Amino acid sequence: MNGVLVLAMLMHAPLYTGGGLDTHAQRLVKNAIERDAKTTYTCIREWTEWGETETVRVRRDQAANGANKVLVLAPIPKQGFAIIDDGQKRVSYNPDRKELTIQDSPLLTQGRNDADRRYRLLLQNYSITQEAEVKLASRTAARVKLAPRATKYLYTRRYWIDNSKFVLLRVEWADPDGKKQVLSDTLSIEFPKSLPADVFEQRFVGRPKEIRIRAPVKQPSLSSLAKAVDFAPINPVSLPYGFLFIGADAITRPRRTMAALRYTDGAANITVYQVEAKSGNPPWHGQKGFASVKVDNVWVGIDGDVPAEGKGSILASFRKSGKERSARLAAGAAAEFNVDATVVEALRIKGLTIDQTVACLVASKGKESSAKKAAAIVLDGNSMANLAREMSVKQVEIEKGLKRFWDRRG
Amino acid sequence: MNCNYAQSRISAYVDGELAGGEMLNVRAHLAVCENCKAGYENCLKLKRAVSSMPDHSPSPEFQHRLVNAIRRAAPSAESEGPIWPTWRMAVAFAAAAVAAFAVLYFRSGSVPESAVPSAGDEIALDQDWNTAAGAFPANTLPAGLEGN
Repeated sequence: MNGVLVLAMLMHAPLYTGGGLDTHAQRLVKNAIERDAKTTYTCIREWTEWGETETVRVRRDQAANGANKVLVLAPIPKQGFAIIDDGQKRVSYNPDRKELTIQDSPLLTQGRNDADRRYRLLLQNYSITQEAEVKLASRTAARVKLAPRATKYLYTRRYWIDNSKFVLLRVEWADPDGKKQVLSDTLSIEFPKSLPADVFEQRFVGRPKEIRIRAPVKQPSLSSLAKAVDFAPINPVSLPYGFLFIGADAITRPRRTMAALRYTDGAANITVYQVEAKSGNPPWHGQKGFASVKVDNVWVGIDGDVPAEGKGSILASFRKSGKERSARLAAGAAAEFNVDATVVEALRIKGLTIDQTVACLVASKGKESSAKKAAAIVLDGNSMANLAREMSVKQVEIEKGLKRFWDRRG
Repeated sequence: MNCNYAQSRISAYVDGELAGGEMLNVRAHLAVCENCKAGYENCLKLKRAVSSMPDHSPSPEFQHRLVNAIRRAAPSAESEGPIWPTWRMAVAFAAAAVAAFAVLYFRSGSVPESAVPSAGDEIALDQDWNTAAGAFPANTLPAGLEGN
């Protein structure tokens, strides 16, 4: 899909809400994003993987600071698996292998503005409506539908949101063909004021072998990521469906080093893994749900909660983002706005696509400091309308600037 | 909560398998009931003792000795008098206990040699870690629990 079309969709996104804005449903979803992972509860829940029939029943305890524990109750072959995240360390216990895998807690790296950014993206990329109010697990829940604008490429999601605690009690996806599946279902839930401290104590039978894994290391920019993984990762020229870069990690393992670029459209999350393609297959070869392609000398693999059609389309964007084309378009952007190549590079290493970079250069009228401010606005999940407003330019100017750029350079 | 109920929950309490509210109730009962507290401490000691037992590998002759012990303990078809004289019973129980211990010990499988995750695990570990950092981690099956 042409970048101009994508941005045009984003620009008008708030208007694409079908029967008008359902502000109550939007508020419910906003509250859920903010509080689902920050509410104290203990529950019995069933999880099912998309496309599978086997259900994993767990007890899940969660504290208000996000610390959580999962203990698998059924099926028998998985009984006793446990994951304990006390906010500092994440420990996974595999009783069959008698192994404890220990790494830093992902809670340590969560961005403060992540919830706001996700919500802004959701409003742009999904239509949010409340369908019903139902009883579930002895609670009253609102059933809210999140319909993607790109209906042929993304899952439609339904969330059953607890009316007073804003915890998700049930999650259902429907693929572009209409096939539905419940992925998470709460059977019972309690909301005590606090959990006993020993919930997060690590007590395992026997003496399990400890495997200490270095957690993915968050990188402030794509240039620091390149240094950490020792190759230049592919930064796409454009991305469809409103996906936004939200961070990059270097994953250092004993066997290899990988780059992980994270993107979200507010609801769906994808990780684009990249490794230097020296020979053979990528490390994710044969893994279910992975789509991959070789771009220049880099294997690019996409994983995430996006249907195969969507993954294929995102992968196509990376395929068209080889070094030669990226360099040509970056040079074109510098020439178009009469700025030094380093200005374009400074925006690109923040994770902006060429589309977004050009939008920032138009909005900032080619001034370096203003361009960085524009980049921060874009990376905060704002729509083009918001970018225009914050930068005191007309939205139509950004539109025209983008069209002109692609007409000449695309 | 009464003592009968509390005692039926002590083992699960020690293993951390009780839901938060129930765990609080058991804990409150243990704070006021000496009898149940003693039961809790015994259960704790037993589980600690079992979990701190060293892993022993049986010698190559173990199975041979075990089979012989069971054969010696078994009654012959023409034996008279009590079918299970006391000494035979003791040997049989000892052999059964050894067998039961062996079953318990080997059931959990051997400890893997390598502490390095496989290539597949590398991705699964990151998928799990990244999911846990997302917006709704509580509603997503951790990557390590997927598949069969």
